[in-house]
Amino acid sequence: MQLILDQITKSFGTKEVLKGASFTFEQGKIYGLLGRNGSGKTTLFNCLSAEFPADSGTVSLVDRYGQTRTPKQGDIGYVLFTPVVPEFLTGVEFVKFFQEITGDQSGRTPDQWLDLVGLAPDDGRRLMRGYSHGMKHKIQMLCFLIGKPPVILLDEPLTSFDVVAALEMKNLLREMKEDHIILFSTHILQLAQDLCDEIVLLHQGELEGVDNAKIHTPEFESYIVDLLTQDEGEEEVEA
Amino acid sequence: MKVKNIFLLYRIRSALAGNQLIYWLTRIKLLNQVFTDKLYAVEDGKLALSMMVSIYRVVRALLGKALYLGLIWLVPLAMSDMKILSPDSFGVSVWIFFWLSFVAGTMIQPVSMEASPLKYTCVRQMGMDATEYQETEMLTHHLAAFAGFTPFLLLWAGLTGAGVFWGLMLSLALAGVRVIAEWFHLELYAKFHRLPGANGIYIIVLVVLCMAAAYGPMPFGLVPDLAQYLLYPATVTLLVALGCVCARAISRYPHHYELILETCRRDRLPGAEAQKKANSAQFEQVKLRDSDLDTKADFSGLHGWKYLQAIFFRRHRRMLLKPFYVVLAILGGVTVLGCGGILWFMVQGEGAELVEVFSLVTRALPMCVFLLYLMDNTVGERICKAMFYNCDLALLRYGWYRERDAILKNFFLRWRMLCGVNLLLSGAACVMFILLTLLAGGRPPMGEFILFLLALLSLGVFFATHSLAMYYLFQPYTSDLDTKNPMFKILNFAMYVVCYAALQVKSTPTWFALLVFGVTVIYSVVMLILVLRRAPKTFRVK
Repeated sequence: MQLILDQITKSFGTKEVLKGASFTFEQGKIYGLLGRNGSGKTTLFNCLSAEFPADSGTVSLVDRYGQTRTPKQGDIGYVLFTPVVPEFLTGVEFVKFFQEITGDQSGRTPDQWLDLVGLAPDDGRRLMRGYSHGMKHKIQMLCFLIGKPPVILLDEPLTSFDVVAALEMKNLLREMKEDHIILFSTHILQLAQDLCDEIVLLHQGELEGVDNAKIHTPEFESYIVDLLTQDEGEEEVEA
Repeated sequence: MKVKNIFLLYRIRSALAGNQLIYWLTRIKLLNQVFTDKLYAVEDGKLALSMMVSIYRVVRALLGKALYLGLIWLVPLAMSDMKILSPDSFGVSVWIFFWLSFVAGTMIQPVSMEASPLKYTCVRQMGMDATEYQETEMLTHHLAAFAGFTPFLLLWAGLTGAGVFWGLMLSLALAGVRVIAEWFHLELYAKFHRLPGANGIYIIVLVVLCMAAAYGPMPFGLVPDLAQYLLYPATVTLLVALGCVCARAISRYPHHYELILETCRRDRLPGAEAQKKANSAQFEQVKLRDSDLDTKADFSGLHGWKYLQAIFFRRHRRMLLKPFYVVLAILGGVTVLGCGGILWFMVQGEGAELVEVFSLVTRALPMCVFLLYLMDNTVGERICKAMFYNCDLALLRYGWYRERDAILKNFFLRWRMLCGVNLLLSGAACVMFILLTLLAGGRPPMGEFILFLLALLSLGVFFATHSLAMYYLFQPYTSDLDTKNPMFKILNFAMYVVCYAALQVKSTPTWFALLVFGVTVIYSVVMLILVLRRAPKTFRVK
């Protein structure tokens, strides 16, 4: 499966945030979306998840048989920086409900699903309004495990976790990646190096892949910084 | 105090006001073709806008003073027997002005205690010297107030025949008292760490007492001749001199920074934080309590969307059922009282009149339209807020919850539940009317009476559909818990006006009942079709 972005543009007032972002993302890989503050990472995610529409451009999914289609709402799972869950439900109730509406055929019980992401049965019977940030994130990730949306977008997913929770989440993402196209945005280069199969830069409103061979080299940081500041240097020279 | 601070504050204030103006201009359709957000970066354009804002502020301040004086003086004088333009009326106006401007105006919110975003920006964020800021702000504020009041006070004193000199004395006395009040508040803070202006009850009591003191003596012709003491040149000189002494003490006051830290806490500022807090307050009554959240109820027989909604309504039964029980109790009370009244009239031998009255019971339908609107709308609005705040705000972030099927399934489950609640209320009203009519021996035409009851029941469905469809079609709440949809507010107000206007209808009962029945059925069907077609696109978190 592939997710193809073709010439996505989005402006707010006179500010062009996305200026024809194009890229093809493949199933089975974790993509790290890097960009400077305000480069439009969250805007891109919002356009992909139909939180708001792009001004122009197309988003399409190509399945394993080469059939192309426009993604439906349920095809793209999106984890916000601040996780949101319906707080009037317990973890078990939410998972049971979600299994039923998605027609989960796994045969797992809600408790077994919760156990998979490291939530104890007692926690599952507590109302989610008492859950920590990390527990809410796990519940959201569980939705992706059950619902299996082809595309998963994660906006700065691990930055607010403690070290243990972060490791659990990283392992979970690695386990999930075979069945999904996972794209996550981050500012933390080390995290991107640690987890991602490919790095994509969002710079000047456009998407650009980077040389994968350099991801695990010591020069990677300066390489990325050079790429992200290249045009600024040129602009200064022109000025 | 440095003169440059005056210009610095002016520049910052103008820049903030200019940016705000640009922001609003860029949000108005058509105008935003000319005023784009590039304007923020155009220094000359911003300077011109800042000057426009400054001119507007001067005009607004002058108009504000004129309006204020007109309201506090002209309105009560016009309502009294007193000749408006006479030396006597000047004496009365000084008395009123003393209580409202000298006492209430200076004691409610002195400039030094104000929680302003500008103060926060300059002192807490930009590191400006707190004493210099306070001095500059107080000086500019009180000078501006003096300059604003003086022309009107001179004019008023001249027109009433008291003489412009006394107008000048009044303005000088006020300026002196304002500075003294600033010093008084600063000392109060230094000694007791008190901020009286932050206490709502203090303000209400002060305003009520000052209003009573200002206007209480007027109707009895007992207004003391304060002007002869207050405006006596020696008194005014003393007040101005005391003002100067206080100004000097203020410039040496050691706790300005501490005071600004206390008054300019983020939650006290009239900015985004406070706005968010205020927005959140409108959801206060739908916030879940721990006692609402019993996890023992058994929902194992339910599945999918029904399961979700059953849990939702179960855990929101307090906010759903409380107004329901209140309305039922009122209807029950009215029924019991009505029965008692009917029996009492019968004992008094006035049964024939009761028969006549209750034979015309169907004429109560216009009143019922309005009362059912009030009852059902309260329940409907509250439950829609609870749906948003406790459920949809979170779940609308998930793609699967925004799918067409999901939205419509959810809508119809909720609609059935809300219709059920409203039908119970309408049913209770029907039972009340049937009981009272039977007991009183009223004989309304049977067809008309059945139509009346049907109209009451249809109103229940109508208001349930209205509340829920409006929520789904306009989803007026934002993720910041604000209500941002003018159309939602306008249409809800229109519904209120229509229901209120129903009280004035003088049609025959049969026609009116038919009209109500017809309109409710057609409106409900139209709204349901609109929901089917539009809600999958409109039901979003903004």
